[in-house]
Amino acid sequence: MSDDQQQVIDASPQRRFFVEMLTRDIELAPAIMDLVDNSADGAKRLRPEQGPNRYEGLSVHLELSGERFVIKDNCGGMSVELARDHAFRFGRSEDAPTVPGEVGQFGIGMKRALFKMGDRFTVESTAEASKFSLSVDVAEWAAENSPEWEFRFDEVEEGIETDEDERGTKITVEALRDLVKQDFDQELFVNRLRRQLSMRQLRLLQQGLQINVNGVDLQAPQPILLSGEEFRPIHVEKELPVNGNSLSLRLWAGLADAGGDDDDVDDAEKYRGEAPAGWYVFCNDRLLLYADKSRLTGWGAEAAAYHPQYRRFQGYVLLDGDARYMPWNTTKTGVDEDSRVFREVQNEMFDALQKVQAVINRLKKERRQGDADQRPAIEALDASEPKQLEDLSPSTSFVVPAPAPDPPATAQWIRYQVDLDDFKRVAESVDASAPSDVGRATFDWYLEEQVD
Amino acid sequence: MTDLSYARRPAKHIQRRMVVDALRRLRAFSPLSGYEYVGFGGMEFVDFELVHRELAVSKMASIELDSNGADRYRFNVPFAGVEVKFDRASAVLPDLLDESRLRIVWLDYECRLNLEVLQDVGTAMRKLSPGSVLLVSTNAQGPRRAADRISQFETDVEPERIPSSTTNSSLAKWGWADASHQVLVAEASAEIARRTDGSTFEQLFHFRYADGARMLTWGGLVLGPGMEPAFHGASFDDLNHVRRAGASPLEIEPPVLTLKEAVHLNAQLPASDPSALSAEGISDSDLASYADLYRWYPPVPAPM
Repeated sequence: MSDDQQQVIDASPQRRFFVEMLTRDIELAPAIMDLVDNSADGAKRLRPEQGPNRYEGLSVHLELSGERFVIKDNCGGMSVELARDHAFRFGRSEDAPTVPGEVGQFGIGMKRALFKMGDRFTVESTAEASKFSLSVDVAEWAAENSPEWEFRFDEVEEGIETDEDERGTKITVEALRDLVKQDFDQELFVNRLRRQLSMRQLRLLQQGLQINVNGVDLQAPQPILLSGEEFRPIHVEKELPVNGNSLSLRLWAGLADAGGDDDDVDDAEKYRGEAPAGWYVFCNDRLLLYADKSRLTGWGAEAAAYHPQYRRFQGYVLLDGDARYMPWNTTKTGVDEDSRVFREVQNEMFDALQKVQAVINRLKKERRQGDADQRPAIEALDASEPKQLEDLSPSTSFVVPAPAPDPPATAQWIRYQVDLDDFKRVAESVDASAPSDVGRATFDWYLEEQVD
Repeated sequence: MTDLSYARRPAKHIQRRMVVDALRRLRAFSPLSGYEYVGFGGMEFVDFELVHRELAVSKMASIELDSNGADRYRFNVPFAGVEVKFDRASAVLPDLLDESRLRIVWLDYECRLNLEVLQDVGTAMRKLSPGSVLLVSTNAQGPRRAADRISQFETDVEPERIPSSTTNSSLAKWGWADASHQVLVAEASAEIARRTDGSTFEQLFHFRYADGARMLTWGGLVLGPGMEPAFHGASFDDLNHVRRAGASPLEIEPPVLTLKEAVHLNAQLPASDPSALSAEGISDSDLASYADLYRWYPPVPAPM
C-alpha cells in the first residue's frame, strides 16, 4: 500500500444501506402522496393560468392491490432530459430548473417512494418531444458493487413530436414488499389514503383535477363564500418580500353558505359536502392547514376562541411562488412556525379573523333582537349569494351595513327566590303551578291594585 | 366641564393631564396635528376636549359600546373632528387601524383586564404605525375574598398568562394591578414581536389611582427602526411622571384640599424641600403628595 492509499478511507455508501436508510423514515401513505405531488406538479406546469377550471381534463389514476401499485397521469409527462439530469438523481442538483408553484423541491420523493413499495419498478413517460421507459430491479441494483450509481433507460426517444393525448407518466411497482401488500389489500388503508389525498390535493381537486384511487374519484368541497352588494367578505392580495424575492399572498375570509360539520373529521364522506369551519392554508396549492381553529391561526389568542357560533367561518390563504421560500416544514406537511413569512401571513389571518368574528357577532346580536325591521346585517347576508373565491373583489374590510341602534329597553326580567312553602301557598291561591305564572299573577295583581 | 371631571374623579383627571403633558413630546416624531386620537369618549368626551385643546389633535374617533341613544352621543361630540363608532372596541379597532397613520389610542376600559382587552392590545401592537402611542386603563380591583383571587384572574386572562409568582395573597390590594401590568407587558411584547418591521414597544406610562375602585393605566410608544434619535430628542425620561420599563408605578393620591389651602400651599411651591411646606392641620404625607401633584390640579380661580 502506498502512503496515499493508507490515508484514504472508502466512505462510499453501500447501495443496500442507502436504500434502507432512505425508506426507513417515511411511511407508506406519505410516500404515495409524494408521487401524486409529482403528477400535480406536472399539472401545474401544463396549466400555469389560475382559475376555477384550471385542471379540467387532467387526471391521476392510482391502483393499489396485492399485486402491484400503479400511478398513471396525463399531466404532461417527464422529458428524457429531466429524467436523466434530475428526476432519477439522488438529491436535487443546484441547477435544477425551478418551476414557480412547484412543490417537489428536495429531489428525493419519487425514488424513496418506489424503493419503499417494492423490488421492481417501471417508469414510462411521454413528454412533448421525448419518451422513455426505465425498469429497475431494486434488489439487483442494490447488490451491485460498481462505484458508479446508474439507472439505464430501456427505451429512449428524443427530438420527436408526440401525440398530445399520450403525454403523461405511468409508474408501476411490482414484487411489492410484504407489509405493503398487506396494506394495499385493506380497504381501510385505501380509504385513509383517499382521505389524506383529498385533503393534500384539495386545491387542485377544487380546480378540476381528477384523482381516482381504485376506481373512486376523490371529491372536494368547493371554496365558496357568501357575497352580496352590501355583504362583501375580506379579500387581500399582497406580495410578501422574502430574501430579495417575494411570495404572493391571497387571502379570503368570510362566511360559508351553511356551517360545516365540526364533528370528527375522520369520515371521508364529510369531504364531499361543506368544508368544516376554519382556516385553509395552501402553499403552491398544497394544503398545509386544514380547517384550522387553533392558536396558530389566531383562535383563542389574537382573536376569540372557536365556538359553534363561528361555524360558518371560512378562511383561505394561498401562497404562491418559489418553493424554496415557502414557510413549510421539510416534509411539506405542515407550516414552519418560525418562518418570518409565515408570521406575516399570520398577522393577516389574525386581522381577517377578528373582522369576520365581529361580523358574526353582529349577526348574532341582530338575530337575538326582537325587532325584525332592525336587522341590516342579516338582510345583507340573506341577499348575498355563494361565490367562488376568484369572483370576489379585494376588500381589507368585511363590508356590512352600519348597525341599527340598540332598541331601548322595553321589558325587564325579574328573578328572585322565595320560601318554598310560601310559594306553594301563593300558587294555590292564584291557582297556578308554574313559577313564572305565579310570579306574573302576583305582579299583575299588585300592578292592578296598587299602582296608579 | 374639566373642573367637574376633576371634582368627581380627581386622580383620573390628574393622570389625564400628566399623559397629555408627556404626549406633547411626540412633536419630536411628527407634528401633533398629524396624529389621530382614538378613545372611549362616553357622553362627556373629557379626554377628547383635553387632547384637542392641549395638543391640537383634530382628527378623533370615539368608540362607544352603547348604541342605544346614538343620536345623543353624536349630539354631545365636542368638536367637528370627532367621529363616533358604535360597537365593541374589538370589533372597531381592526378596521379603524387599517389606514396607516400616526395615532394616540387610549383604551380606557371600565372592566378588569380580560381576554378581549388583551385581544385589543394585540391588535394595536400589530397594527399601530411606528411613532404611535397606546394607553390602556383597566379596573384593578380583585375579589375581596382571598381564596377567589387566583381562580378569578385565571378566568379573566387564562392560566398560561398568570405570572409564575402569583398567589392569592400576592393579588391583594395593588397586587392585582401588579399582575395585570405584568400580563399587559408580556402580551405587548409577544405581539409586537410578531411585526416584521422591527418595531419595539417602549413603556412610558404606569399609573395607579383609586378614585373609587383601584385602577391601572399603562402605555407607551411603538418605536420603529431609525426612530431612536427622535425618541432621545423627546426626552421622556426627563418627566418625573413618565415610568419607563422596570420603574415602579406612579401612584396618584391627590389630597383633598379647600381652595384656601391650595392657594396657601401654591404660594410655597415649587419647593426644594417639600417637608418644609406648612399648612394648618394637613398631614405630612398629604403635603408631600400635593407637592408632587399640584401642577396637575385644576388652576385655582384668578382674583378679579
